[in-house]
This record gives sequence, C-alpha cells and structure tokens, in this order.
Amino acid sequence: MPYYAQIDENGICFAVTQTAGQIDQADMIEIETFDEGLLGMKRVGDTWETVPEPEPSE
Amino acid sequence: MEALLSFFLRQVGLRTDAASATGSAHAKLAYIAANTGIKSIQRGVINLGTSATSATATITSVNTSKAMVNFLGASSAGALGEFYEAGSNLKGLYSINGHHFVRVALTNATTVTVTRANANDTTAVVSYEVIEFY
Repeated sequence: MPYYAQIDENGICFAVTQTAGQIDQADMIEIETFDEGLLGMKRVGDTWETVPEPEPSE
Repeated sequence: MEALLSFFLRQVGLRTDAASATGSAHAKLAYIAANTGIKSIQRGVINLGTSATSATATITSVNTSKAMVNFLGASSAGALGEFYEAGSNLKGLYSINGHHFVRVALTNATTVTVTRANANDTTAVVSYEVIEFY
C-alpha cells in the first residue's frame, strides 16, 4: 500500500497517509515510508526542508 | 438415479466452481469468503497548525455506508496563559485547554476531517484509520 505526504498551498506537509491504492493528485507526494517526521516540513523541488518554528504570539 | 445425481451436482457443485452469489453451494461459499470482512484499511496522521481548527486529508475512495473511521489519539504540547495585574506585573500562569480535544470524521468517500474548538497557538497531531468492509 502506498504512502503519501500531503502538502498545502505553501508546500508544507500537513498529513501523512497510508492509502489503499494510488492517488494521482498534485498535493499528494508519494513517499517510501510512513514518515511522520515530514509533518511541518516544506517540499522544495524533490526534497524536504525544515521550516523554522514561528515565534509564539503574545 | 441419474437425475438425482444431476440435481445434487447442481445444488452442491464442485470445489472448483467460480464464486457466485447465485450458483451452487460451493460457488456461494467462495463468494461469501471473497466478499466478507475487511476490504481495506487506510491510516494517517494530520497536523493541525498553530492557528488551525480543522484540516482534511485525502484517502482513496471508500463506500461511506460500509466504512468507519477510528480515532487513534492525538498529541499536542501544553499551552500556558499569563494573568497580569492591572498594570503589567505578571501575577500567574494558567493552563489553556481545548487544542487537545479533537474530533475525526469521514466527511465523504475520499476525505477525513479533523476539527477542534480552539487552536491556542499550539499544533496537534491527530492519528486515525479508515476501515472499509465488503
């Protein structure tokens, strides 16, 4: 069963899913494992980059 | 006698009969075995960002009348509020809740939605699974 990282309009991964079949969708990036560590990371080209945590608001 | 054997052959059938809902007993058993139980399981995690009170994830299509979603838990950091006196002296801290408490729903055949009442500037990771039956 395939694994996907789903990204928002800014390329940030907000979901990781093990699906029952293939999904052909622009915001679904196929990945090799169920890697929760991708949550919050940014897709840049074919790689994932860490995004600095925003300062907490007052 | 031959007619009787023919009758039993039609009714009971052979082990090699193809699965069928309307065929012989062997065919019906094969049909039941192939169409009973779990059809698929999909699992995932959804991250609710610091300001998000809902988020959705895409799954492969399921029959919503034969599928269920299970909430497998959520994790989130604590959050503190600051209580000030009139002026600017910090008088105390208090725990902020709400961002921990999430709901999971199978919104439609291809969408899982998680929601919470408050974001509280705190992320939450929600785990779920969708089980579809035949």
